[in-house]
Amino acid sequence: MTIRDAGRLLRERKISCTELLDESLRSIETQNSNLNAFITITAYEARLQAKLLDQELAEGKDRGPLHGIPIAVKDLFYTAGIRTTNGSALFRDFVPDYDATVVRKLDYAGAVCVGKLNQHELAYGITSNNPHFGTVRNPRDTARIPGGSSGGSGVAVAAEMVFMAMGSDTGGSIRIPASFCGTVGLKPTFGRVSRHGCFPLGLTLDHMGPLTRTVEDAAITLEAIAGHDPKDETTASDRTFQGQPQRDITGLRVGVPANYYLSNADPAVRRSIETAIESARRAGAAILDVHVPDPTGLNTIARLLLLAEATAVMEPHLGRRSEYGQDVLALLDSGRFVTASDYINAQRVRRRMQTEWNEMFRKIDVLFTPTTPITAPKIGEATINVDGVEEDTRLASTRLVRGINPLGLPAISIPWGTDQIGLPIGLQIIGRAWEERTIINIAAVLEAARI
Amino acid sequence: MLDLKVIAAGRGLDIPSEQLERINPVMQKLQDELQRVLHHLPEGPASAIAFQAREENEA
Repeated sequence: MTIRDAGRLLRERKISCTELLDESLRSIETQNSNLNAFITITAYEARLQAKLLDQELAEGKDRGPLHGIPIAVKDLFYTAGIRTTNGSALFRDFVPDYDATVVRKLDYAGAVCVGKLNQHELAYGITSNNPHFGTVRNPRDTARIPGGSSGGSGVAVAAEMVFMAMGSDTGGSIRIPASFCGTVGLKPTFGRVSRHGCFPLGLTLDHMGPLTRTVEDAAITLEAIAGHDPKDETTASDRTFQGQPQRDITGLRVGVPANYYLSNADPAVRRSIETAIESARRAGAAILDVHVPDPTGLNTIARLLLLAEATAVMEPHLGRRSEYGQDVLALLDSGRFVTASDYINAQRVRRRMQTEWNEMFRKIDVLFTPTTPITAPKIGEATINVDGVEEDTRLASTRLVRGINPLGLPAISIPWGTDQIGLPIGLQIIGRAWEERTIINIAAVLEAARI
Repeated sequence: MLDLKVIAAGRGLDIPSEQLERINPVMQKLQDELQRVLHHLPEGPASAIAFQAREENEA
């Protein structure tokens, strides 16, 4: 069932907001002990909210498509009066006294938040194997990671505990769990969605966005959360988002990378993306081979920027070494050795790369790539074999998504096929800045073709 | 060659030497790769820093 389907049932009085919430809470109760998607479940607050929303519908007040829809947010979004841990022992007892702007907007839109989702510690990693709040498990195979850092968000949507879960994406942290868990994950353009009231990680790289069951559900959510926020000066003015997917992509120019993205990927992933390209062609898109400007270099500057920015963010807490997991501590320590000139040069290259990508996007409207070159690795697998090459699991999982963050471009991951053992594969569609509508349209067309 | 132990000692950073040994090759590789990508930079004001991705996207 999608957000649209649930909304129809609510408006036809075939189900109430309270009943819909109860279904969600039952699903969490039966699955969470195994999957560990939630750190905090807010059943009491959610019931009060659902009751109020039922009353509103009975009185003819309708807040729109998210009215009465059970959702959850990653535990880095501030929630007034409800602890917000950022998946870290440092913030185990932190209770904010205000809501993140995104949380406030979702509340205003009538969504019912059922809890706070588990994640990689400090959102700094891709396994969601959290040393403080437990390992998050992939519902497609519980011996495997869900990806991260928004692992709980991917799991809560894939296991149908909620209709939508908010995540954050600094180097792929929405799109990787979407790929590994088989959900939709949308990273909007930098500046489209407020970051006020979210724990930061990469100050110039963090993006907030939804993970959902369908492309339309992602569009519905973006409509609710987008727009300028006076409390976040990086949000652009006049950048709300409106409109549901149009189903016509005739003449749309789809770029297929001739370099990097399809080489050194699992053969099943490569084959799957080739079928997506063929589906786009059949739907009327024009397919064009393009050379993508230096993706390796782009990843390098993305990593350097993040190392420096994350260490700067966590500087006041660096002395509390015993309170970090080993992987996160190693990254924070590494950040102390990025020099000022390295950081400045990385920012200069970033600017240049944006120009080079913009030039590429004059020839095409969207770029197709795999989201991840692999399907979900097993829990604890530090290295992974990708088409005959042994790679660090974290670097393999991030290498097709990380570079999009310094560019600030919108990107969506949709489930597209499975590998030999039935694990989901993600298709990443990248667009020009502020053109979420374009990537949503083509994603919706492909989704419909797949069904 | 990058030697994090020397840098850490010089700056008085309290990081165990095993950790420094672990991250040294990773940082060395990143440094090397950064040197390679600096060829992207043209000379002159076009390479000025812009920290606001919003402005960059608008441009």
